[in-house]
Amino acid sequence: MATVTDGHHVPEPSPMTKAWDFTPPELVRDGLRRLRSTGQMYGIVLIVMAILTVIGIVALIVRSVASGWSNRTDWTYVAVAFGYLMSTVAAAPCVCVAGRLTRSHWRRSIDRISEIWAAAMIVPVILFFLLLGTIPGTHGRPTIWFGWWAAPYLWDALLVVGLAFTGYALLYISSIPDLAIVRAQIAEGKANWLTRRAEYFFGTERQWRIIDRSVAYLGAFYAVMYIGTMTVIASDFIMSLIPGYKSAIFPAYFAVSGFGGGVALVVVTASFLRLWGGAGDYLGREQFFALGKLQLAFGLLWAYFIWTDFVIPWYGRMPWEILQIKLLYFKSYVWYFVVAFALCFLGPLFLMMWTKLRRSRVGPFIASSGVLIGLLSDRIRLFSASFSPKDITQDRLHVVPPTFAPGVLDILIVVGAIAAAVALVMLALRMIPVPSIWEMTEGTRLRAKRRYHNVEVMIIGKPDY
Amino acid sequence: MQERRRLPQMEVIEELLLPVTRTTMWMWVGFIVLGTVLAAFAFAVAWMFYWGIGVTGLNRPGMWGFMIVNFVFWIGISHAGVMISAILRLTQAEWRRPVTRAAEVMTMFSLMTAMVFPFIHTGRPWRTMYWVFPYDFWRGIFPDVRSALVMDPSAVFTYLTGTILFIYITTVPDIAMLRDRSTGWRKGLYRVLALGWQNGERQWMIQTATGFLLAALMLSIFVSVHSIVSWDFSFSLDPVWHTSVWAPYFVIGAVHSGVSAVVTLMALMRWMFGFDKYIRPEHFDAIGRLLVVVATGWIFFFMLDVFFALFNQDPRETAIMHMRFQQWPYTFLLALIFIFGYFIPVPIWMFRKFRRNIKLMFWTSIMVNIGMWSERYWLVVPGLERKYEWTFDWNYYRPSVIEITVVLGSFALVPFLFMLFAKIFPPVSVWEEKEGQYFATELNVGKASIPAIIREF
Repeated sequence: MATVTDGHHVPEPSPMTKAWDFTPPELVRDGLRRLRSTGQMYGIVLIVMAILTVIGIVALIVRSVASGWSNRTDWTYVAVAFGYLMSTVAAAPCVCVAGRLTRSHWRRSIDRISEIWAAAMIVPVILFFLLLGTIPGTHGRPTIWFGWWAAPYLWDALLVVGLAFTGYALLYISSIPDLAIVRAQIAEGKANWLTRRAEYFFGTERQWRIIDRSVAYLGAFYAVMYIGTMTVIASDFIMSLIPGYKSAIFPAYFAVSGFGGGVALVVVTASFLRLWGGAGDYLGREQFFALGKLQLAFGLLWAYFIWTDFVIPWYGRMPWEILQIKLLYFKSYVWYFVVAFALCFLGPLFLMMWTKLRRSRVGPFIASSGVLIGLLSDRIRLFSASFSPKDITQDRLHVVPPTFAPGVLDILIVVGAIAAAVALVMLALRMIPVPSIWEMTEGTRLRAKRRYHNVEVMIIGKPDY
Repeated sequence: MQERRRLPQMEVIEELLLPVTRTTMWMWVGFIVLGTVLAAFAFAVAWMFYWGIGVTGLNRPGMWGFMIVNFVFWIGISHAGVMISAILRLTQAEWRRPVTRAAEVMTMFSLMTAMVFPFIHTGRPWRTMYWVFPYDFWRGIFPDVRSALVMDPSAVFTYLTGTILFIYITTVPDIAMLRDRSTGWRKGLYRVLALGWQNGERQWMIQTATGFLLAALMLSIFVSVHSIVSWDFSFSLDPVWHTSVWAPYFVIGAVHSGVSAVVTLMALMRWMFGFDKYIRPEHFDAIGRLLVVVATGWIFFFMLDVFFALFNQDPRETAIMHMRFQQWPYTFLLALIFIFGYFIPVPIWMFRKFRRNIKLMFWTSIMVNIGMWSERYWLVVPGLERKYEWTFDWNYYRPSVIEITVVLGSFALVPFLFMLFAKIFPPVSVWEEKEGQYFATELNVGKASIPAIIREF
């Protein structure tokens, strides 16, 4: 409630400005506390994830032994798992890149949450190498490689592995100052291998400058590389496997929907960390409000890109275009599309358009959970449609392939892949402080509360780099 | 160090109202030079109306030439207003303040200029009325609302209406200030337009809320307008036009050229109106960083368009792509697109030192728009020059002197209208600048004092 003093109405301070009343020593203590002590819940969840991962690996081995690589359709759900992880896990670090490039302040407690997902990049990389055996060469089918040597295998592999490597590098470099803090605070001989990697960081001005620039440039490179990688995956794993399917917007759609998935994953992770990870003081409404706006923007972009992908063949109405629309939107995978449409577009739109919900912590969480489910449905739609046609050397689609129904093995593979990614991130949370101590410290120094007439306002420092 | 200096309110008002109160020498020069070009423009249009469309280089099948290219280009430029004003307003970017008004006004005049072109392109524009009104329902022909050519005018008119409303709402406090400081016909005009603005708290609340709502609404219109313009082409089955990427590609290209045009305008306003204290290097720095991202997005879509035109190796598309890549003048235009649109400006904008150099920013922004105009030509014109199932000729399009004059005239029309606007309303929003003065402060971190702002929520 607002109070009245000296006869003047005093507005209540905005709930958006309540967080981050810490001193640097408090930030360090708190960060180390979270590393050292994990609750019982953490152990249980980690064990469950590990079991699911093992089940997924067994399912994958059974799939390889039973089916071999000759029948692409059998590998549909491996591709789904790969595509889904590329659209969520690999996209999550882009959120911190965007925040750092725009120099926003709300991002500081979010940055590490987003980049820590790079720790799970090994999972899509493994799935990718398994899938390579199912992808045909470029001869006799549409391709963007135009006769490049060893295409598409070598170049796709370079991009996927390069992206994973860049992600790990980004996570490592941005964690160095925090790892140095951990190193300085723990007893001799107890440093783990990761902490020892920060051996030479002492916080000199030059070292800080290098960290700052490396994080910025590596982040920008990661984002550009992510778009490039998603473009070739969309082309080699989806578009060129559906005869006659030519949509120049599709790779951009694939990347943009991935960004939406990355934001959703960060929101959901932040919600879990706020509730059970002891990071509630850092993750206030300000963060969810900003991420909610991003979620809304990506929801709208999702709809815009899907519309442009749909409307051009719909207007063209050539027979093969009609079949293509039926395959992707109306006939074989209509319900998958409906679920994706409802959760990736309608959900964020109708929830996040309301400022009150955006400012809450529950609204963005619900919208983002929906996006993660919708995105899975969308990836099932796309990869099932692309792994269904038998003869991809035909210049056009002549019949609509039937819906591909997954078996138990398929479902276990997808669940196992997701669980493996979650388990890796949980392990990383034991080694790297989340949220980032150094970025939070910087943030608290650049924020101050001041009285402005009769209101308390937030002052944000904008250093001129 | 804070680049913004705290200025007395009266000084802010006096300096920002300078173009309204005084016509500088450069303004006179501008009026005379631009007026001369406009006279040539009027003559060329009249000549075309008198002799007919045959005086242009249009032929069969190349029936869309300079005028349609120019239409697409100016629609693109118009995207600057919303990009700068609506998005930056919604994201509360502090550096928006001195550029929003100019960007919005440029949007309005670019749209008006763009709309001239399809109209005069008909050759007999007065007959356009008879094609539309009264609609001959007696023949059982109904307007095909699915046609992009029906959607297009609707979208552009909606955008124009929204833009005018947006500018008006954000200008009302400044109009009221002018009303209180003017005499004669101006006072009468401002009194009517100020809608009884008295600086009341409730009025400010309504004005702010309306501005935000209009900004949010304008964003959807902003995306739809250039998408629909692109669908004028993409809905056809014409090879290289019938592609799904054109809608977002046109939008991002429009933002690239539009924001670059704002940079041009910012530099010109500094030089012409002496707004050095308000349009500072830090603003060029911020807009330069934005342009790096936008330009990279644009080149990505450009690549998608090219790669996926060749993707399934359809002989008809390959033939046009061959022409675009290997035949004059398209090879030259391609070089302009790449070099002027990306490879010269973007590396320059990567460096803070260069982003803060106003002359360099001015020339790179001009370069971008040369590249972007070339890109529009490269996209639109070759699509019709080859023979398909539905055309019977094979021809090349060469613009005539008349068309060149008309296009040059459009480049004079927009700045001319902008200068006229600046004679009646302040081209930099005075109330926003004053608000910015209050929001700017400094924060002490250790021994350093760094620029800071009061956070708006």
